[in-house]
Amino acid sequence: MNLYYHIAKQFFFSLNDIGKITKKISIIGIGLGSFALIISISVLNGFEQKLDEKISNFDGHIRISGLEQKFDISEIELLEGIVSTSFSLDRKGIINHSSDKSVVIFKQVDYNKIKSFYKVPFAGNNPNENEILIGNDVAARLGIRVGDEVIISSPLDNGSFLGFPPAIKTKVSGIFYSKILDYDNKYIFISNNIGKKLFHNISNLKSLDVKVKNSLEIDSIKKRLVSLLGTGKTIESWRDRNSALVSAIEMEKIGSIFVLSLIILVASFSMSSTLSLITIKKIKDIGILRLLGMKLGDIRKIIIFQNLIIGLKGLFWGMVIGSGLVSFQNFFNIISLPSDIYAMETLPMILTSEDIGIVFFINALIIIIAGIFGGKKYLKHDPLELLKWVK
Amino acid sequence: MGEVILSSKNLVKTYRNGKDRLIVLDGININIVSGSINTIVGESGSGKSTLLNVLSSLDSFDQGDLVIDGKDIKSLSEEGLSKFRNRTIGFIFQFHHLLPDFTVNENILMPIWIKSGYKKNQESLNLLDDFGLIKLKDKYPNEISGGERQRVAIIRAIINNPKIIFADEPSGNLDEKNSIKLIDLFKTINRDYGTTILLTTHNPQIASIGSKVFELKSGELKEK
Repeated sequence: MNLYYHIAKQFFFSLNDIGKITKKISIIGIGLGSFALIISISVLNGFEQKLDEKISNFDGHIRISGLEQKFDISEIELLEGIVSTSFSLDRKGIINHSSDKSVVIFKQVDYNKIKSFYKVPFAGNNPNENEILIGNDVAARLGIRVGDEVIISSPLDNGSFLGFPPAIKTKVSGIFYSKILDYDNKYIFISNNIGKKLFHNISNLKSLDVKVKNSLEIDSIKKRLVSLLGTGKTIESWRDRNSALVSAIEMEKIGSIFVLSLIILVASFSMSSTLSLITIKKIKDIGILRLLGMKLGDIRKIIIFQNLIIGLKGLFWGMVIGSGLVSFQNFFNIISLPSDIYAMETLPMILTSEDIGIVFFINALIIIIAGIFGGKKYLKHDPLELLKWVK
Repeated sequence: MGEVILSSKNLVKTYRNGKDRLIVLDGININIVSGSINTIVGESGSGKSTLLNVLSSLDSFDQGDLVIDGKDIKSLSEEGLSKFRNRTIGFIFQFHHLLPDFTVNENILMPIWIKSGYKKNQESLNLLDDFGLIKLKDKYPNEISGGERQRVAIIRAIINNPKIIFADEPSGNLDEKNSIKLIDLFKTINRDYGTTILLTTHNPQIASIGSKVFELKSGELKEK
């Protein structure tokens, strides 16, 4: 055991009732702050993970554009960390139903992968090559139901020598609901067969959507793809394509860490006052230690250890209770959410060792700073003055 | 005659009182020989404690030179002075100044811990045994008598084998029986460990143990 820790621990023994209460308040404050930080970070992580899941189920984690038609995608599929790939094409078009029209984005995909790659839930039947799946909000806007016939056209392509755009009458086999506004409001899945009939002006159409095993490895897989494919290709992750949204999430995370750290900061004030109380009460003992040859720097170490004893106790309990709640939620899903608003049934919570490290670092920093400042003003006196201190 | 362990030349200590300066120590010259017992007597308020505090490096002085064990005290930094106090000097006060949250054994070990780190050490138990206080080792200061506390404080003062012990009115709070025990203890320490002792007292019986007796009067020190 360390001498400074031993002395710090012993100094707590003779705390009076007020000292004991402020010590407990400090522990509870630090614990509460750590708990709030853990919960807040894990909820934000959970929502981010859900977003990752939803967007990757629609567009894949990474999209590669500009591949030559003859490119052998097995080279990409063999790369470590890549789970599956699918060619797709996004192109603006128009959907007509009755007398209503709407501008939409056609997403041309291989229907064989509609369930394995694009795991977007939908009501209705699996589409055949001549049918389409439309977004829930598009259907609601145009009053379309499963089984209805609609006309889709692509004004960006020339359908005839008179300049009319190609148009196809097709059947809506299903209505998907990704619960992502932009997608449900704009997108329509079409087959390669329909795409060929609509998109006359595109020869080398497609982008390659890529799904990875672990979304935390997206950046490293992107780098591997760049070195494999060389220049002239566009390789973007879903985060790159939704940078505004990702930045907003990051800002929210930083904001909540900052705001919740204020709880710990306020608790550290209480901790500092506890320390001042102990220092005043123990001023004569500090004088004795100085008399026996203890250096001023070593006395400061004792005070920092006192702070660590209080702070780490609070931090420990806050982290244990917080992590426990996250685990409990992940096992038993006790906290549910209104699924029509949040697009998920239960509150998602994810906690990583990195997050625990961040919470620990923030707490430790505040605790040590409070320790450096707590009781500082009483220590500048020489041993004799400390011994004569009148409480 | 042994070597000089403490030497002061023209030590002056003043206190500011508004615009006036009060001279408490006025050119103190003293040489303390290693291995001797020296006592300083004087009336109450004569400045005995101030002199002892200055000579033991606990208090500053305005003018003069002070050398203890070959070290010029003025030249030492805060850190250097702490280290010097820990290794060279032992302190004993009228009030025992034991740490209330630590056992007798821990109190005695504290200077060793400060010097060499927190680890087990048999030295304090040996000393407690030598001085017949071993049964007190696990007791806290508030569980033992005043005389026992003072003897524990003395054992703590010698645990690091200091060259010199400064004792300020060590019997001030003790009855006659305990004062006699204390005198015996100082004599034993001086004989067995060769430790130099400089103490202040107003008790003539205690003053008589000194091979040299100094009197402090009107800020000046004279050998009696």
